[in-house]
Parts: sequence; C-alpha cells; structure tokens
Amino acid sequence: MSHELLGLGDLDRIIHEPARLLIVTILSTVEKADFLFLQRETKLTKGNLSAHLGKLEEAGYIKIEKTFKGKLPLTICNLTANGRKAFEQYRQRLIQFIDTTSK
Amino acid sequence: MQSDHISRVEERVYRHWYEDGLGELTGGGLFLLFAFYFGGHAWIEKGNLMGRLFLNGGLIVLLIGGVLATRWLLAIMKAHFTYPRTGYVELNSPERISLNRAVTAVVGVVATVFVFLLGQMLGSFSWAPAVVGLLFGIVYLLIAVKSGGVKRFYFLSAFSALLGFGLWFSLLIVTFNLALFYSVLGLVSIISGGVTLARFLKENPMPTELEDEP
Repeated sequence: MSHELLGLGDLDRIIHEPARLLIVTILSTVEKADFLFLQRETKLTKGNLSAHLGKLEEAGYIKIEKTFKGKLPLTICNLTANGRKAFEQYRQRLIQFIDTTSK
Repeated sequence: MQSDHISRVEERVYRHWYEDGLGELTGGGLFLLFAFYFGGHAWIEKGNLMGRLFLNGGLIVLLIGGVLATRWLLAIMKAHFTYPRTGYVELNSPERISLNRAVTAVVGVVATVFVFLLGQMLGSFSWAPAVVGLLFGIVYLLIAVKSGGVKRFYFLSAFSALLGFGLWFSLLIVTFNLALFYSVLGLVSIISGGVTLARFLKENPMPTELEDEP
C-alpha cells in the first residue's frame, strides 16, 4: 500500500466530518462570519451548527466571539491561524490521495 | 476537498455580498455625483478661472470624500437591511485588502497617465467616455465572473462599454459626454440595485424570533 494511502488514516478527524468540513471551508474563504450566515450557508439546524462550532472551537481551529447587536445576540466566528494550517494540511493530504488513486 | 469545490464556496460567499443590490445602489449614487461634477465643467465657461479652480479642487474632494461616503453608507445599509436577514460576513483578509488596494492604485495611476499621454498625442479627449465605459465594463465583468455568473453584472458590463463607445461617436463636448455617461450609468445602476433590493427584501423577511443562538 502506498505512503499516500496509508496517510489517509492520519486525516484530521475534526475537519473530516462533512458538516465541519463545510463550516471550515466557508470560514477559510472569509475573514469572519456570523452564526446566521453559517446557518444559511450550511443548512444545519441551530443546535447542530452550535455543536459543530463548539467542537471546532475546542480544537482551537475557530474563534467564537459572542456579542449583542441591540437586543439580538450576535455570534461571530473566524478561523484561527491553527485552523487555517490544519485545513491546508487536510486539503494537501486529500489532493495527494486523489492524485495517487487517479493514476 | 478539491480546489474547484472551494472556488464554488468562494463564489457563493462573494455572490452573497452582491445579492442585496446595495453595492449597485450606492455605486450608482457615486456615479451621479461624478455626473454633477462633469456637468459643472460643461456649464462653466472656459474663461471663468475661479470656477475652473473650484471644480478641479472639487475632483479630489469628490474622489476621496465620495468613495469614503459610499463605503460608510454601504456599511450602514448592510447593517440595517442585510445582516439581520441573511447574516454578517466579512469578505477579505487584511492582506488581501491591502493587495487589492495596491493593485487598484497602480492600475488607476497607470490608466490616468495613459489617458493623459494619449490625449496629448491625439490633441483631443473625445474618446474618454469610451475608455471610462470600457474600464467600468471590465470591473462589472470581473464581479460577474468572480461571483459565479450573476447575470445583471454581465448586463451592466455590456451596457457600460456600449454607452461609452456610443457617446464617443456623438458630437457632444467631452465633459458633457462624461456627465451624460455617469448620469445614465448611475441611473441604470440604481434601478438595477433597487429592483434587486426589493426582491431581496421580499425573499428574505426579517426574522421575527428573538431566541438566543445556542
């Protein structure tokens, strides 16, 4: 078995989960986004999105800032430097794997 | 995830920024300010030195103040109409913004020097609306492509270029031509933005629930 295929086992499980992968991908393309924007883009329920954001925050991949705009709660998320690095590594692994298996 | 998938997510996020039509509304307002400026040039007599000086100084104020006022107004309108409905998103990282600004500044300076040198060589600026129309056409085209093909930007791109070239062949004096160009493009941009905003507000009603985000 090739090195690239074996490397798949080391894929970052935090990012690999589809919903979290979508969240991280969206956050990788922007500076910051709020909860409502992420919910609309990912089509996840509030509870589900909140749970995934919590896991990403726990891993140090995103930073969550909770504020208020008037009386409305505002949750702003952005990818940390660690998160960007982890996402880039994840992408590289996947690209290597796809290149290897398509040859 | 493959890079084309990421590009699609990027396009969607970029499209989200323009789906409310506020960019065209405020941009159209800025165009109308330019129309007033060039209209003033067309109406003030050539011998009126004070008037000319006032207008030439006004260009700097208009360029800096107009752009700043447009950005300020856009931020206020986004906060009022867009963010409560579809969420807040900040598009670019500071590095990208700096790069974009640097590229825009260099392109602006090169284009200005080019226009003046060409004008001196040809002894006339009658083609200026065509160049301006083409430049805005390219800007609208870039927005259309970057946002994954929003059709109204293709229309605005073609309209800007055709309007500029159409006015080049008219027999009007150049400042009046530019005033006409900015008026028409400004009005069309405001109409396009207004229709888009009306549709956006209809499709995205203000959420009524005040429950906390989990």
